[in-house]
Amino acid sequence: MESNNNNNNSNNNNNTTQIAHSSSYPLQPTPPPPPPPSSAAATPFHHLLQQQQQQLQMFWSYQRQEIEQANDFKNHQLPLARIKKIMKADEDVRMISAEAPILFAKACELFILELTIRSWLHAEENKRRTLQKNDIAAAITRTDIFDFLVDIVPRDEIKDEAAGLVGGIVGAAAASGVPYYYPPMGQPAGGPHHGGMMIGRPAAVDPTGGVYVQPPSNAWQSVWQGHAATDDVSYGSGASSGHGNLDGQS
Amino acid sequence: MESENQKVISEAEELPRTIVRRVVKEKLSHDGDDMSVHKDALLAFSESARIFIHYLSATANDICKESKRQTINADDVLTALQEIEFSHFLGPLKASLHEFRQKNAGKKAGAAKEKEEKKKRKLEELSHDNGGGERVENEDNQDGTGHA
Repeated sequence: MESNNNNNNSNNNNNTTQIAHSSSYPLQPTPPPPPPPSSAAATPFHHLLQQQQQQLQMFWSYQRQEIEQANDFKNHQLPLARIKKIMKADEDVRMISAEAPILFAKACELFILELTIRSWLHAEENKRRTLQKNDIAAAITRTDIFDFLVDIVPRDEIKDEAAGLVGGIVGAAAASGVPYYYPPMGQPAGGPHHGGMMIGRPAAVDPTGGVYVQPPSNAWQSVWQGHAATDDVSYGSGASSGHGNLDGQS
Repeated sequence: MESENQKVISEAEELPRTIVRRVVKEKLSHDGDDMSVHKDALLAFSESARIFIHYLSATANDICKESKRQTINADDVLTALQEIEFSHFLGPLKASLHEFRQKNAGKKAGAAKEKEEKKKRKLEELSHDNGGGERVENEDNQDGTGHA
């Protein structure tokens, strides 16, 4: 009596011949170059930017390879049921196809990975071997597309970078259109914000803030505000206490 | 942990901390050896990921509704990712989706095939029968496929 599984052939035959790369991870932990003492403002930082871009590109192509090689879809890292529950916490969200949570699980994982890399870069720059919350906050600050997190992980401890930089960054980013731009060290934090204390301000829901790129979906706004009304984890109810939203929650 | 905060927070589902931790630690072990993660940072990762899910679902929901549909489908999610400027996720996600669909198609095809074969065998058995009981031998020989 044979016990072969005839019906499940995709697992074993799937895409094993696609990638010939070795399993070594292409993203090297190269520390960013130290900024020269006196130079044009943009040069060292753009170099750092380029390096980060390259690393991220390599990261993403590696991710794709990894997925194409993975043959066991059951090893979902994030539980689909939990993801569904999180999605449904938004009352607006009604029906979800079977495929959607799978995409969300993967997207979530990719998101965590990207946030990890960017946070790690910050820790590296500050020569630390422990990744801290303010590394994550820094990553969020530096990355435009992470703007929706500005109030989730506020920068309450600005130890490593000059406080003046922080206000200047966001103002300059909006003006120049460059994703992240660090003005020269000596420059005071001008612009529409008070010196360095803008982080933690709920720019997300402030339409007059000017520097925040509004999320494209209006539905997002209502989720944001809805949470602010009901949830103790204030996502941006206007009061910037400067205290970490996550303190005391664990 | 303050119990009052706990009461409110527990209304919000969280991602399993051990899994978040694993994802972060594995990535760090690639990027920089012996990088440790502060507990507060792990919380921040978890919370950020949860908000990301909200952000993405709200956007996908919007897109779905614009198309006058009720159910958020895969394309809605992919389009939403582009809208929130996470297009660089699309490659890996499409690969995942493709694989999931293949696997499911394989299962369905296999299940359908198995049904067909069982049917065929039953018919054969019945035609072999001369009015007597079923022949045990035949059953043994022919029932070889695994179960779904």
